[in-house]
Amino acid sequence: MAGLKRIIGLSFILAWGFLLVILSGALYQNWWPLFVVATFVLAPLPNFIFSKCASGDDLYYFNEQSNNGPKDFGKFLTSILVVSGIALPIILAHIEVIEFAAMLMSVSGGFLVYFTILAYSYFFSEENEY
Amino acid sequence: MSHSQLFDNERQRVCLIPIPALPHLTEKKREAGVYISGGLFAIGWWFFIDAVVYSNYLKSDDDSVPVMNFEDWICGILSTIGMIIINLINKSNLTPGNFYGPYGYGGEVNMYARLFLFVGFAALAGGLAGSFTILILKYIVIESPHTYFGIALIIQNLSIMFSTFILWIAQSADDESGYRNYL
Repeated sequence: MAGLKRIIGLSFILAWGFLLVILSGALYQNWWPLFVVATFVLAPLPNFIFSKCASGDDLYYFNEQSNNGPKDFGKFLTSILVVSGIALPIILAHIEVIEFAAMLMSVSGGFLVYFTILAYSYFFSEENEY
Repeated sequence: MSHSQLFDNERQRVCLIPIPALPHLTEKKREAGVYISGGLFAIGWWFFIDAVVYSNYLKSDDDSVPVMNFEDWICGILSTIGMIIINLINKSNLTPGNFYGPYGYGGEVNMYARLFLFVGFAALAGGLAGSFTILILKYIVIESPHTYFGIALIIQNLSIMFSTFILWIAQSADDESGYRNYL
C-alpha cells in the first residue's frame, strides 16, 4: 500500500509541475517557457545511459569505484542539463522575452517535474534490488 | 616508525614541507563533487550566453553598445579546452612507482603526462587572464558603462576553472582509495 500512496502522491506533484509550466506559457500567450520541460525531462537521461557503462572489471577490482569515468561523465551532463533548465528562463526574463512571474512559474514547475522523476527513479531502483 | 612515516618515505617527497594529501572522499561526496562540477561549468557558460544575448538585445535600442565578438568567445573556449585536457589525463601516470597502471612505471609516460597537465593548466590560466584583459581593455579603459559583459566573462572562466579543480579532486580521491585498498 505504501508504494501505491507514493505513486499517487508523485503523480499529484507531477500534475502540479505541469500545471505551473503550462500556466507560465498560457497566462501571457507566450510559449517560450515550455523549453524548460525539455531540459528537465532530458536531464536524467545521461545518468540512465551511462550507468550501464560501468567497467567489466568490478569483480576483479572488488570495489566498484575503480573505473567509473563514463558514469561520472553522465553525472556531469545531467548536472549541466539541470542548471540549463534553471538558467534558460532567467535569461529569457532578462531580455524581456517572458515576464518575471512566468520565469518564476516555469522554474518552480520544472523543479517539481524533475523532483518527481528523481523520486520515482529512486523508489523504482529500490524495488529492483530485491 | 609510525605507519604514516613509512608511507611518506615510499612516496619520496620533493619539497621539505609535505604537501597535504587530497581528502579521502566517500562515494556520496565524490558523486556530489561531480554534480557540483557540472553545475559550475553550466553556470559559467550560461553567464556568457546571457552576456551575448543581452548585448544584442541592448544593441537594438542603442548603437553604441559593444557587441560580443570572437575575441570574447575565445577565452571561454580556451578554458574549456584546458578543462578537457586536464581531465583526459590518466592520473595514475602522474606519480611514479605505481605498478598497477599498464604503462605507469615512471619514466617517459610520466613525463608526457606531466607535460600534458602543464599545457592544460596553462590553457585554463590563459583563458582567465584573457577574460581579465578583455574586461580592462574593452570596457574599463574606454569607460564603457557596460562592464557587466566583461564581468560575465570573468565569472565564466572562474567557474570553469573551479569546475575543473572540483572534478580533479573528486576523481583523484577515487584513484587514491583504489590504491589504498591494495596496500
